[in-house]
Amino acid sequence: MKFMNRLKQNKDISTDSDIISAQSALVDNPDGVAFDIRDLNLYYDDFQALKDINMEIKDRSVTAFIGPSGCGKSTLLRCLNRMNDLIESSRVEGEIIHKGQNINSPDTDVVKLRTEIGMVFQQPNPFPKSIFDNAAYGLVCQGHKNKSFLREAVEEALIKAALWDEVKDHLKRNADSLSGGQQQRLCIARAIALNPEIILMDEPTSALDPIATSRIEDLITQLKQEYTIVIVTHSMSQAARVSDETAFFLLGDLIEFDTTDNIFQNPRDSRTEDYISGKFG
Amino acid sequence: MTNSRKFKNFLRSGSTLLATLLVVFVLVSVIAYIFSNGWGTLDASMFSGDYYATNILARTDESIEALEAGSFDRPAALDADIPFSSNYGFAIRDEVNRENNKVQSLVYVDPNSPLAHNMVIATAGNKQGKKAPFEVGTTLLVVDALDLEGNRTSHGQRKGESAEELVAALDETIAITGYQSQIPGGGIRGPIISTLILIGMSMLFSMPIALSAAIYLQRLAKDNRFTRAIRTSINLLAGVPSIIFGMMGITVIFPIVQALGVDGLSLLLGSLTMSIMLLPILIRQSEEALASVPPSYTMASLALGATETQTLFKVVLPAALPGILSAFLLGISRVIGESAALIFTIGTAVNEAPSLTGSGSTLAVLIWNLMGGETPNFRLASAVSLVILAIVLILNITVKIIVGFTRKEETKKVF
Ligand SMILES: Nc1ncnc2c1ncn2[C@@H]1O[C@H](COP(=O)(O)OP(=O)(O)OP(=O)(O)O)[C@@H](O)[C@H]1O
Ligand SMILES: [Mg+2]
Repeated sequence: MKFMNRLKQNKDISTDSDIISAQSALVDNPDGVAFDIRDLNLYYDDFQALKDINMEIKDRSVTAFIGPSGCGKSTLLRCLNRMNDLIESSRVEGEIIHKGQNINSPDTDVVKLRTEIGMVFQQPNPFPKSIFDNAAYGLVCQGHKNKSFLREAVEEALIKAALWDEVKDHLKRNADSLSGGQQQRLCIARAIALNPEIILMDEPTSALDPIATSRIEDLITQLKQEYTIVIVTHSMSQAARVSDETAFFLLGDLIEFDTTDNIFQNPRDSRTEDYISGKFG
Repeated sequence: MTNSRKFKNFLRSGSTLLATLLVVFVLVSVIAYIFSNGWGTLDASMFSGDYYATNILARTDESIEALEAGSFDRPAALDADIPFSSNYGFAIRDEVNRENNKVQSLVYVDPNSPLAHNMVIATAGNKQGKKAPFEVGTTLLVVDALDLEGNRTSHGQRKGESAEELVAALDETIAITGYQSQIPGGGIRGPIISTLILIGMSMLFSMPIALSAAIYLQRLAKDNRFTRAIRTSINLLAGVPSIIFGMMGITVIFPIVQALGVDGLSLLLGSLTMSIMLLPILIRQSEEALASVPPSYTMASLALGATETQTLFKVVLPAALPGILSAFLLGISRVIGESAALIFTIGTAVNEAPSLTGSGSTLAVLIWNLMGGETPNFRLASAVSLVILAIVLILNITVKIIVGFTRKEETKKVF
């Protein structure tokens, strides 16, 4: 029932190819769930940063993680593409089911997983390479060499990231020469170029001015037609504007997870209410 | 209160300024000294010439007893105070050469001078019978001639005559039978080649190892006691005086090189010793270069599904390149400047045609050599120092250009 609706939704605004990929996503995630997180615990040495997290992150929607600093939002986000592997002291327990597989299992092809799940960081971090090379990086790493294929893919990604018009004449320029907001959109383009199913964003606008922020927010709203987006944010208004569902964390616990409307209008937990009304944080 | 603070402040900034000025003064005077001594000695022949002087004993070839004097015109361009022999067509003057000896050098040789054509080398050896070189720059020791009565006489520096006296005496002769000359030494072609070979081989051996070690320590090794022990020992090794490495070279590496079939002191032994000596500092510098690459690049690359290896080669190493290049440059400068470790391993004698398996002397060892004897040759040593300074300067500029080239686009703001 649910995914029939979703399919309909997609039909209204998207092209045929989108429907095909939507269908394939339906096959991959039969229940419309991108991540099924079960009893997830994460420790940095002795410190437990995530406590018994259970949640389902929906396909093709925007899920926002909110909560005061240090509550484990970034940590959970990094679990979703195994970036916590890079932190030597971290240790994970529990399962994250993605496409029927537990991504925490040692058999997971982490490299492949990360091409399917893109990530955008808090600070724009383009490589000190040309704009083109940045956007093409993931594809080149996958072994794509064909120039015209790369050019098309880069153009498509930059168009989707709403950056193409600004950079199309400067593709050879170093990415450092872009403004912060442009750099962040380039980082999004870089992730999109791999045609991922999911994009994880860790406070993608916290280093940007209001205008650049609203451009990125518009972009997120557009991208959610095609991608599952998980976004960490400190801005209540941003969560309210862009997300469909919101999860509120406190000291490593998932306090409340519901539709964004419910979280902001009828929070069930008093701590959620206190947080969104600015009583602490 | 404020006054005493002002005074203390003045004292502090005054003393640091003074110290800085002192350092600058010392540096400038050292360089000025080297310049004033070395500049006049530098010329093109120094870079191509042999280090050791060649003695030539020349005489007329078999067919003729003696070469008759002719009548030559003094070239207009020749300075008026330089003695010119109109009988035999050459100009000669007294000077002090690169090797710090008083000599009489040929300044001009007429193309038709009998001495330039009909003399052969009489010294035994494979050059015997070949045409003797009578060229500008050669020093003339003694000339054998026949005087107006047909008796043999000898003239020149050997006979205690000045250039002017030699020319005057030769005007009183009718023919020439032979001469002794010397192609001056003091050329640094050999040491330059030795230095280049040593730089090339040392960097070839050490840089790949240093880079691999730096990559291991910086990116692969877990931060545990073992890694810390390695780091500490590398830092300790970087402070070991080079003469100790020289001793290690001759005691430890020598047998290894010998087993490879290279006996005696050799540039190979020297470059292996240098490589080991350079490792700690190259590892440290390369590690710093790698550490300076923002971790966010690595994160971004891995998050885009790049492997560790791809991340290393496509993102980290290119970003660390300026630092790695300066490590490379530092290594080269160390090789150029090293003498203590090399004296034991490549020897001190200049080799005119150095090879990897032969001994030799680098520019720095040559300076040590020149300054070490009973009569230190300040002038040639200064000239060699200038060459070293120039090489280091050129290297620095090259690296700056390369780094500037790779960084050029970053600085341009597009929007
Ligand atoms: N690499 C690490 N090693 C040890 N502890 C860590 C590490 N990263 C995070 N932590 C700890 O885990 C907890 C959660 O951190 P996390 O970065 O996930 O918080 P966050 O919710 O993203 O906070 P913020 O809003 O400030 O970004 C914090 O207490 C933090 O100190
Ligand atoms: Mg965070």
